Amino acid sequence: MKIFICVKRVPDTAVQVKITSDGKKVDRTDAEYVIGPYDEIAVEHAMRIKDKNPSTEVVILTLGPAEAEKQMRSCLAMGADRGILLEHATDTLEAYPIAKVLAEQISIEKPDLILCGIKATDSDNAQIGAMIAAILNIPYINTVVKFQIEDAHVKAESELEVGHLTMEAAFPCVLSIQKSNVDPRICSLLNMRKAKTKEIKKIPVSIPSTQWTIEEIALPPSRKPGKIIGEGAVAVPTLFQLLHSEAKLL
Amino acid sequence: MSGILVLPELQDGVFRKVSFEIATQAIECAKVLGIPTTALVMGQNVQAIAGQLSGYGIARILLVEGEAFAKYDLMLCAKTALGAIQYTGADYVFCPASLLGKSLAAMIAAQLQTSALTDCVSWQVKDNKLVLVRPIYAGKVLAKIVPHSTPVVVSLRPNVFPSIQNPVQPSIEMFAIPNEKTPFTKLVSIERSNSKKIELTEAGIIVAGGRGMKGPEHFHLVEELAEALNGAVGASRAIVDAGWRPHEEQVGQTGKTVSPQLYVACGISGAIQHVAGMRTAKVIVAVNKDKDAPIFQIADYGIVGDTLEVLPKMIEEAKKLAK
Ligand SMILES: Cc1cc2nc3c(=O)[nH]c(=O)nc-3n(C[C@H](O)[C@H](O)[C@H](O)COP(=O)(O)OP(=O)(O)OC[C@H]3O[C@@H](n4cnc5c(N)ncnc54)[C@H](O)[C@@H]3O)c2cc1C
Ligand SMILES: Nc1ncnc2c1ncn2[C@@H]1O[C@H](COP(=O)(O)O)[C@@H](O)[C@H]1O
Repeated sequence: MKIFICVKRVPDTAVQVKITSDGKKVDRTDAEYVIGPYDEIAVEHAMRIKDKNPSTEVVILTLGPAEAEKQMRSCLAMGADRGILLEHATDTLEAYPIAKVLAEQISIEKPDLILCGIKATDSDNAQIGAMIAAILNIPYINTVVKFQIEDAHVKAESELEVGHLTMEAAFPCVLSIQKSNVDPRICSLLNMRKAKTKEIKKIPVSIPSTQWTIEEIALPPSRKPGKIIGEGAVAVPTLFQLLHSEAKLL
Repeated sequence: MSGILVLPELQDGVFRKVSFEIATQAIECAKVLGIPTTALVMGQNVQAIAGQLSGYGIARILLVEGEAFAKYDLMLCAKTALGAIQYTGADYVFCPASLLGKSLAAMIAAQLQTSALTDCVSWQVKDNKLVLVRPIYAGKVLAKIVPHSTPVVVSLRPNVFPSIQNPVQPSIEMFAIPNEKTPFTKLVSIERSNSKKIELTEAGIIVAGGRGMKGPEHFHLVEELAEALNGAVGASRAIVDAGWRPHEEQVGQTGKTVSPQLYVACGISGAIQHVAGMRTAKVIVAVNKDKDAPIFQIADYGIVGDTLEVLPKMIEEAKKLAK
């Protein structure tokens, strides 16, 4: 069985975002990069399958700049077998051009299962997994918190606003992975060393043209500065009064 | 031909609240653009309720009935929607930015070889073009985007836009199911969210707890306050990770993005990733024993104190209100 995991290199979300002086782009010059947080969980899911069934081949697929090799190596240190880096330095916020290129590579190698994160924490798109499925005309299950492989299909639990669904889809199919109680494993030094010699195939690609103009990127309107109204339980009646008379709630 | 196609979302055969919000926005947007609006309702036994959309100004309703639509087969829904876009000549598609809606929007967009604009929080029409604002970088900044080719597929964030009643006479037309031999996915079972509980992204009031609740045994205080205020319960990631609360209650970057009227943060420090999920709340109340906790920088009303001491008093006051 062959599993592809789409992994994106994204700026660390713990740091505040800087905007370029023309106000049209996010300034990523001194950004620190990490593996997409959901993508990392997807890698962990795949590794748990491989732990049980070592013949499983796990492949990391990234569209990104040459520097993305670093994040891919971390995935290989978690135990993935090899990587494919589709080299392109785009930072487009549009999902389709990326999905199209990823889907093309996927259709060449024909994995059984394709895992994506539910969203990339820079684009906030939550689209690529769904798009890959649509482009390849194969089943898609979104917001998966756990799944298991049964013969030639996958049984997955999807956590939606409307409830928890248990869904089945035959291979090949795409799952988008939501955070759950599955935490990415910590890599040993030995595995990090081993990962250095694993194959990462680099393929330069071009991406389809984009269709949006970004007119402006701005910080969200700042909230009124906070106000402390008091200390301890004695402040509660004042709070309720303010919520009623000032905030016009309750 | 041109127009807006609205894709409402159903739960247990009724429209989710966000459906009326996107219907209202479509009608307002269509008015400015001078184009018609159509809704596509996909479900099972929904003929009786489809007309509800006309209460929000949508006169033309396409209806597809089929068991598969009640079974969350996203590919089938996306293909059906594509059919409806072609049939109506729609150049705008409005979906809810729910978990399903975002995926559906993406699948529709991919079929149209374009990208969807996810989770839009405002829109305007400029030079006869729709301009949309959506959060990016885990909600830390807002991008104003002008798509320069149509069709444009957007998903709108729940609980941000008002729904405005505007009854019109409905005309309901049966729409054909695409010719798909087999379903793409199979629904094995559904474990419904407790229907008495208010869903987080739709809630007008949210009471959320963090590590400052000191332990799962005290969390009933958060639940009681939520109940007394007729709100929903939220949680920080710290206590979801610690196993006190289920992930579906998590608010923040790796949880849900919420926009209630009132958000009460109890023992939550206000980490950037938590704030990303709730900063659009209209009013924020924080209870924290540390007067320098970052949550106080954005809280409209802060109380410095021990949650275990302050919450019982809040429950008492909230219950007085209920009476
Ligand atoms: C990639 C990534 C994604 C993340 N996504 C999310 C997310 O989606 N949602 C999220 O919430 N976090 C997220 N986080 C984690 C986030 O950074 C914080 O660690 C988390 O929000 C902290 O939760 P907390 O406020 O409950 O706990 P803490 O930060 O430990 O804060 C507890 C607060 O309670 C106060 N307190 C303690 N005792 C009392 C008492 N008796 N009475 C009153 N106050 C008291 C303390 O003063 C403190 O301010 C993410 C982190 C990363 C790296
Ligand atoms: N450039 C990329 N390379 C590889 N995978 C990607 C890329 N962009 C997005 N993905 C995958 O698609 C998921 C959703 O991304 P998005 O639709 O951009 O929010 C991510 O979590 C990744 O799994």
